[in-house]
Amino acid sequence: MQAPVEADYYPNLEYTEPKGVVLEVGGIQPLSADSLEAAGAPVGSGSVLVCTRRGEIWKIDDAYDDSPVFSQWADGLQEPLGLLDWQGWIYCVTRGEVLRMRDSDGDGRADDFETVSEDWEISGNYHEYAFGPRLGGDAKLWMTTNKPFGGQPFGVADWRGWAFRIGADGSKEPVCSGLRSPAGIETSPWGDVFYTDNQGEWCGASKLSILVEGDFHGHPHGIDSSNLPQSLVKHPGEVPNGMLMPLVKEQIPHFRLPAVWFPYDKMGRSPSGMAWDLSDGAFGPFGGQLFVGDQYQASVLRVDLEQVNGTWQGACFPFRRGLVSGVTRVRFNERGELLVGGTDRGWGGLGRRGWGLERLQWSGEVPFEILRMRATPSGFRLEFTQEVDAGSVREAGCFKLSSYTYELHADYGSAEMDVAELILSVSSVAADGMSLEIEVEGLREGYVHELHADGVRNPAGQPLLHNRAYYTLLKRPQQ
Amino acid sequence: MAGLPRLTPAARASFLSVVGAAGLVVLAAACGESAQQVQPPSFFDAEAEQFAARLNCTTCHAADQATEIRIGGLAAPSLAGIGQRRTLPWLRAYLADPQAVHPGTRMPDALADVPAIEYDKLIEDLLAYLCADGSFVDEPVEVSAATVAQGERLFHTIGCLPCHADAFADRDLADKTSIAHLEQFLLDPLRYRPGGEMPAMGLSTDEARALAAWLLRVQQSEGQEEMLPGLRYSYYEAPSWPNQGEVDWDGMEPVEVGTAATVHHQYGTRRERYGLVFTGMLRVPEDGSYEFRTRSDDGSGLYLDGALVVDNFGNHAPQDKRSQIIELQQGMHELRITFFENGGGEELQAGWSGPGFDSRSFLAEELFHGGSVPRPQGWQEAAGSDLAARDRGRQTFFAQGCLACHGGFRAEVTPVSAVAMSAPAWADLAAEESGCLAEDSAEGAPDFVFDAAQRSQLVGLLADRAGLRQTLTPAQHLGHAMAQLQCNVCHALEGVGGPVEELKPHFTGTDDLGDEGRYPPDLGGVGTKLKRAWMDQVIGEGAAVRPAMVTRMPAFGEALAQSLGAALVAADLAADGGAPAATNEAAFDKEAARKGWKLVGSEGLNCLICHDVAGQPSLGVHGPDLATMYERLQPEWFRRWLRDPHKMRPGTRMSVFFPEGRSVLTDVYDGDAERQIDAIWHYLSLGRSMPLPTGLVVDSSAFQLLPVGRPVYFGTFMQGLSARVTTVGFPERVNLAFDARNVRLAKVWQGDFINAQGTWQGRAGQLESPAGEPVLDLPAGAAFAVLEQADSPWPEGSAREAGWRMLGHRRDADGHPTFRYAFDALEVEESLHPDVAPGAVGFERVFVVRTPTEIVGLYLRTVVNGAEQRLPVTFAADPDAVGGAGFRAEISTLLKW
Repeated sequence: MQAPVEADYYPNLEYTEPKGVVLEVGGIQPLSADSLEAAGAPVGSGSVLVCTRRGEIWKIDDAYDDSPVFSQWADGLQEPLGLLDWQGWIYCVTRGEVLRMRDSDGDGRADDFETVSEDWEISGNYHEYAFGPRLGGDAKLWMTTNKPFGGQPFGVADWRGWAFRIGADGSKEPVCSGLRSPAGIETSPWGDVFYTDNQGEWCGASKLSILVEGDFHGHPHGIDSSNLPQSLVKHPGEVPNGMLMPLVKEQIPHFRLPAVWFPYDKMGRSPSGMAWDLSDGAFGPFGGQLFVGDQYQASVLRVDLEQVNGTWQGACFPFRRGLVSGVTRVRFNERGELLVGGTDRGWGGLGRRGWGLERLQWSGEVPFEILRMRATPSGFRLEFTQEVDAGSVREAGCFKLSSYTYELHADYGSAEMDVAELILSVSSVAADGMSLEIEVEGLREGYVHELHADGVRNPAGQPLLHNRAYYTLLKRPQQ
Repeated sequence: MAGLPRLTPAARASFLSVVGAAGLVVLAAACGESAQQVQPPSFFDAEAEQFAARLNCTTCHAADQATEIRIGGLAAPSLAGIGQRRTLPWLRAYLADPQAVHPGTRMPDALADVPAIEYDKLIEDLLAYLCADGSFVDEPVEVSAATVAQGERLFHTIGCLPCHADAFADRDLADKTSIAHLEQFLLDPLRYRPGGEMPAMGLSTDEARALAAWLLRVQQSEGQEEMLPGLRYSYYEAPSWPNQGEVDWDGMEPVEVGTAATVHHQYGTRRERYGLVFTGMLRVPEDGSYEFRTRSDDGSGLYLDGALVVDNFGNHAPQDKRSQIIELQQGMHELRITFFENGGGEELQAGWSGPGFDSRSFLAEELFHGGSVPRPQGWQEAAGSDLAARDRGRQTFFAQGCLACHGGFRAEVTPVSAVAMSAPAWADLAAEESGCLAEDSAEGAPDFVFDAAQRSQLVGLLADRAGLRQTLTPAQHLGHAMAQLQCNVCHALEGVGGPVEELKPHFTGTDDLGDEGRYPPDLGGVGTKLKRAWMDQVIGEGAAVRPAMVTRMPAFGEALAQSLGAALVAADLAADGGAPAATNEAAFDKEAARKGWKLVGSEGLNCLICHDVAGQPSLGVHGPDLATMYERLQPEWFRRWLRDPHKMRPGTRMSVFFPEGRSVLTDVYDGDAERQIDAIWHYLSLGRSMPLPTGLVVDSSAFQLLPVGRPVYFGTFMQGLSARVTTVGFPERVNLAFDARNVRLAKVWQGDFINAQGTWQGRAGQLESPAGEPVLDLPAGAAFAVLEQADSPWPEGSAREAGWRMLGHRRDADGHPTFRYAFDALEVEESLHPDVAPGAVGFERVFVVRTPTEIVGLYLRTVVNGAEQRLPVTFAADPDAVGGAGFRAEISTLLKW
């Protein structure tokens, strides 16, 4: 028997766009049956809106049939990188505005484009993207702005590298500073908004972070906007160049450490869009977990979060590689399938094509995976999707654990710093074989804990589909 | 060996008629719109008259105007700079015996009566005079075998052969001139031969060079190896290059080779994944110590005398690498520089430092390569510069009557009035074989080497000089005119003439359009088909309206266009009974044009299956572009053509859309053929600004945005504006840029919309600019302002700084935008609709202003007919205002530029 592969559990169905359509995906919005009915549009098997880096929005009708129908719903938007269906309007963030659109005469094309907010600047640098909007638990629109990279032909602009919260009336509240290239933003099921950021200067490793009003996230590019009247973030002062992240947190109390670091190359290079699985089992055993695209690796990662002492933190796991193009956006449809869209234009990635849209479906077979890695006062509890063979997990060397952190500095990316191999032991295995506890010596807060689980087997003797997990430990649970 | 021009049998059979430059006006008057049915003249000898015209008899033997119209000739070649353009040995031989060098030339042996003892000296004197402005100018040109082959292909396909039927033999021109001079001649033959008998073939510089290289091909094998300026380069393409070390260049085929004046990275076409190898010699100025360097992104290497001295290989950002200090001797040293670029930025510099100069790039004058340059034999020989000889030559030039034909030569030092014309006037000639017509030409007369039949023909003309003064019929006149320019070697007239059988294989087409796609059209009825201005343009400037036809319609110059055009029109009018076609047309009707647009498109008659549209390729074969129809065709001809093309041109590929007077398409005007044809004509009248019809397929791999059917919106950074601009291109080929950051309509332009490459390729973020023109830049600042009085200064600064903000925009059912913006509670809606009219596309620009409280002194600033204009905004109660309170103003303007 051949060893199982990812695609056995999560096959992908690739969309073939009509000739001439360049589907460089910047945003995906599945339209719910309710939404379609409200707009007087046929429901069919479902419809999806996709916005592209070329500024178009394509509507895909009968999106889940064998022959989906593409039609252009809008054009002329400036690098739109997110869509949101809310209250009868399609919201979108482009380089220079949050706008909302609708097709008021029902002819299949948007005809009314309203500016919701244009209260930030662009200097004319290609890297000045804007991402969002997502509807936060506070019913406000959340979005992020990229910092420039290279020349700025119309001068230096304010509010770059920030997260905003925007009211329905267009009022803007700049809630966080210090972002670098925050390509993904999503609201959690519990209402908090998270974003992903790409490693580079002042961002030692790619990461997933929560957006909490008043936080500084590490990049000094846009911090002078802190002095503008609207700012809800204190100026951090001079940002230390060359300091371990946990120490920066001690020096700058409102510096935000990420909920999850994505170690370079081990977990992709350029995290992008993300989506929580609320499919109630339709997408398999990972309900409630977060799926994150990677633009370089043409992959989707999996993240399991937990709240410890009020702080969100957790582990990331490999999930599915070999997608058609560098992944920029992932969204679940009402069927519990993950729509995956991508483009690697300008950066290059491991995908076969420069762009594309596909669906990941769960085959119904449960892969043998680490379902969760959760912190305990003395180590970690591992939960599995299948029963583990108790003998295998008790063998010496079945697990290995190391920890490291990153440095905040001006250079591009950080090596893994202050690396330590940790001593661990399996203290208990649950009676049903679905979980176990490990005790670890030398747990460190502010460090990634990288787990190798090479020796784990199920009763059939099969290894894990993925035997790596990376837990970012910010807080150790109390006894 | 035969000379220039070679005439086909067809051309020989009917030589020509008509006018020299002076006679053109007369002819135009004689054949004007008021032409009556003319009785045939009592005397008419087409062949003899055309022969006399070709010989230009009346330039020496002055004739009356009526005779001039019948037998006047074309202007002789210009001798300006002749000494610089011809080798001296060739000139010498030609002066001595024109017929021997160019059999069939109309240049007589003007020195036939000079005693042998004076002959050589006289010719040298003449040469001294002809070369007074300089002898042969050497401009070495290197050409490749591929260029020669291209020239051969051009010669045999674009329409050289019909006149130069037996091609040029190897040696024919080889001793006469060089590639550089012949290239100049081919690019603008009318400059050197103002008569127009050699028209311009619409050649690009490369094509002219290729043709010249092939015509002088024998020189290729006679060139001498010598040092030439610049290095040779080879340009390569590859998917990737090695991360370290040198590339295996020998294992690859270059995509392009050429000569590089200096060393840099911008040869070839690609800017990613390409490589360059430069080879040649470096001239070392003196013995001493030298250091070489390259700066490159990505890798480069520099070799001197075969040894690698700078290793700058690998993939890297711009990086400098230097050699050791190298001791070199004065003289030529072998140089080789290699370069490759994978991705990202690219750069290559190469240079050196040495005794007395700091590090710098190699200079063009330091770089050489060995090569062979084709040249005519005897090119080095220069005429004597003895002033006395030159003056004797001048006197000979006068005395022999050369000025009669070559009157413009050194006109600044040779007033024509100074020339004593010794030849008797036409009226005074005897009708006998004497003077130039004597069997052995008489003393003092040039020798044309006539045969007996030619002498007899010319005497025949002299014998009935009264008959020769009578007016020709339009058809006879046209025959003369066409024969003079040899139109009939390519064009038939009413089925007579046209390509001869043995040349037909050389008339080719790129599409299967039958004979219509291969042979130039029959000129029968062309006077009632083409608009006169277009006909003049076609004859005068050449034309390329038939994209599938390889043979080119050449340019004969403005003067000939007028005379030949007039002859064509007169002949067709006479054939139609002399009544000029009605030219008054119905006023432009937008609704009819809209219907015409539908008829042309894929939901109509689908004309774009076979016709290109405004430069966009058709879906199938490439028939004449629809955007040229209105400019070209007379409306009545167009109507007749659409009604029944097969009646007008049997076997045409044009479809019959209106069989038995009914349209095949019944949902427009109930299938009324005449109304549909009219509607198409209204649409065609938009010319290049015609909205592109539905069904045209846009090439998505191109970044040039092409609005078809409805407007295209494109958001971008824009040069001179801001980083937040919405541009809209309309199918009507008029475009706009709305600067959202500065809350204003900023630019409008005509023609092509925009190229999105800088925004849609790679990381992008370039500042884009309009692709078409003319562009109108609207005045900066807000469109509205409150002023004390109409001529108060307009407020400085941008609209946003003044407090304006965007509300968004709407698109109507046709996709036309309404931009919405506001200042406090005042809201503006600015709608833009293309205003389409023949030759004058613009925008209808409508503003609706709403405000809860009336604003006094509000002005709108716009541009009307290119001039800034301020319009007062007059409010009325707003019927739509909430609660009935509020004011509204609507201002409609036309934006034209």
